[in-house]
Amino acid sequence: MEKPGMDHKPRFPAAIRVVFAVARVTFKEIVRDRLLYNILVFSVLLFSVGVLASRAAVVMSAERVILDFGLTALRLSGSMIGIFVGSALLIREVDRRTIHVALSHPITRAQFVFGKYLGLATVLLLNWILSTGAYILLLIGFNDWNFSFTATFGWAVFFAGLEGLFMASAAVFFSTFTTTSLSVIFCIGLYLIGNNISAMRTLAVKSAGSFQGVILDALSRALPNLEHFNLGTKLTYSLTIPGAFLTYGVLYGVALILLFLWAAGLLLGLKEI
Amino acid sequence: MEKALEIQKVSQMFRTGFWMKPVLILKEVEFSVPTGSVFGFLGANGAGKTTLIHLIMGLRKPTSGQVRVFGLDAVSREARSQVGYLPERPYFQEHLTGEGLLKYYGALSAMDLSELGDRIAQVLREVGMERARKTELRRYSKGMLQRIGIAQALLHSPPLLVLDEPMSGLDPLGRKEMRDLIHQLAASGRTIFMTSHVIPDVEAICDQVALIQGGRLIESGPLSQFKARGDLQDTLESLFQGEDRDGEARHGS
Repeated sequence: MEKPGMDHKPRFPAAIRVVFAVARVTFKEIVRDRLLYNILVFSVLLFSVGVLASRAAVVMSAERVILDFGLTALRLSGSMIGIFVGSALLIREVDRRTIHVALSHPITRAQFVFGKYLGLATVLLLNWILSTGAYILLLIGFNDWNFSFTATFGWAVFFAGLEGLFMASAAVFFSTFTTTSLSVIFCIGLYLIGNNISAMRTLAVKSAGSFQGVILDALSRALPNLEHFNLGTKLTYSLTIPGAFLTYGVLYGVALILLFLWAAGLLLGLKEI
Repeated sequence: MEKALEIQKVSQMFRTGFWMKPVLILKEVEFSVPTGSVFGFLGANGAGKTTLIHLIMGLRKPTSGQVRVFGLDAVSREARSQVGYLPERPYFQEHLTGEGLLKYYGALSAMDLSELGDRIAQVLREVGMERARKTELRRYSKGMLQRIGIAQALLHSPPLLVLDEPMSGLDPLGRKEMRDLIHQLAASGRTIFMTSHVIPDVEAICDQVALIQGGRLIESGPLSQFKARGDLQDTLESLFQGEDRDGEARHGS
């Protein structure tokens, strides 16, 4: 019997509830994965190295060293979870054949991909909250409870999170047409190149007119520019960031994530499972 | 008689190996499954049974021909909502409990959350798994996994059940229990399409059969037709022996 005052109308449409259901199961699956904890231990070690390095700092101030190492740890932990967990996300479903039962239900492959990604994104968010919390505590503790937070600091940690979300979408995309290990390799390549796009552009300008210059120029324009998400230098030197740069960075990141997920959904639709 | 399932001149080709050599797995298979029947799809390992099941479940499109579920294209979402599927070896998320698994698949079928709890209790009762609802799947026996697999297939009350080797890997008691369960499901008015290569199971459960060898349909029709001729056992034995030779030849080439 229906209880008085109870409204059974679902909060979300069925199409969204399906995505949430896949995300919930994926989240539970990932938090049981040992790989996640290995990456977390790695980021704790990186934080610790930052503290040790700050004590030995000569050229830079100790506070700057901690800021720099902390942000690097935050960026690396998010991107590593995105790459390593994201690369195995769909392939594991195919290998264990759990995807057969899931897709025999009335859901689209795109919904399945979005659900898997959303589960991973929730883990990334949790990792980001914990790592940022540890980073802030470290900064406060190191400065005798006297550290002043700036907007640049807030944006730097925000973009570190966005970068992890982007790497996860790229890993899910690569895993739709290749193996887990190749997907990891492609992602690491994308991460390294994406964080050095301006160096690639400089090289392209220097070798303008040559075949190599044309290729470098095309690649620097086509590949995702992850330098938009790296505010390390601006944070270390307390530079202010123009609003237009931030708006562009957010829109660029969201557009890249949606593009990679859309392509992943499309490719999974074509894949023989 | 209304058709629950129509397989119309279905062929399926896969490309395998480095040179993507084409291999024809199903060759113009054609038969239909009447509504309300228990249909046994028989063939040796590698005959193409699971491939056809994947086509019925809309997991892939046939290279040529059509698969229709209650008149709908099998790959459509509407068709998939009419079918419950038990895979050959039930692979499920081991970290989930029986109840958690059913909640997941219920949500994938876009079931109303308010009715899902009651429905889960009902299907768990139907397959005799009420006591294991809070147990993680990693602790389930093979028989329990088959049962929870059937429970997830039944959850959204589909009129057609597709069971891929439901007796596979079960001990004699488990086989008997599964037979009884399928009888019970058939008695409730559902159409059941199951694959098997165990003749006594098929004779005990099915009223219609189709035989497949090397991807080609050999014969289909009411079980009584085969029983009257008294040659189901002989036909299958010769098919299976032929399949072994075919399989060796295909893999050897």
